[in-house]
Amino acid sequence: MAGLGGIGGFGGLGGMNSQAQQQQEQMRLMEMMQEMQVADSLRMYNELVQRCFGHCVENFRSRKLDGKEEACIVRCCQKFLKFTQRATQRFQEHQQEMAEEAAKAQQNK
Amino acid sequence: MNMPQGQGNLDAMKAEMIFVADLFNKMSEMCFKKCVPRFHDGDLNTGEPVVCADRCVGKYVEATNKVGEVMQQLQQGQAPQ
Repeated sequence: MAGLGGIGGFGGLGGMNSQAQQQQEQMRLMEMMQEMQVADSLRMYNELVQRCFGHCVENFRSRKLDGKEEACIVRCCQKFLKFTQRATQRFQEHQQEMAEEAAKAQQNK
Repeated sequence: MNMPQGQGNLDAMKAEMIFVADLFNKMSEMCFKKCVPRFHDGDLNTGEPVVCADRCVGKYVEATNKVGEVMQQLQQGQAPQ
C-alpha cells in the first residue's frame, strides 16, 4: 500500500527549482489519489460483504457457512465485481468523450 | 522521496483501522437485522439472539474472507467474462 516508489526515480534531474517543485506537487497528488483509491476499494469490499451476506445467509444454526451459502456469496461477489467492471469501462468511455468534446469546444473558440 | 518511510506505514495503518471499524459496524448492523427479528417469530430452531449473534459473527468473518479471495482472483485473472 505504501507503493509509488517507482515515481521517485527522476528526483535528481537538473537544478530547475520550479520543475522540481512541480514534480513534488505531482507526486503528492499521486499519493493522495492512491490513498483515496485504497480507501475507496476497502469501502467497496466492506459493502460487498454486507450486500452478499445479507442476500445469501439466512440461517444461524451453525457458526460456519454451509456449501450453499458459500457458493451464493462467491456468485454474488463475481456478479457484482463484473458488473462494476463493465460499468467502469462504459463510464470511462463516457468521460473520455466528454473530455474530447470539451477540448474541441475550447479549440473552436 | 523525501517522505519518511514511516508515513506510508502510517497511512496503511490508518486505512486498515478505518476498514476494520467499517467492517465491525456493518457486521453488527447486519447481524442485528438478521438475529433480532427472529426473537419475535417463534422459531425455536434459530435459538436466542445471543447464540445467533455468535454464529452470525463467525459467518460474517468467513464471508469477508471469501469475498476477499474472490476479489483477488478476479483482479489477478482480469475477469474471464
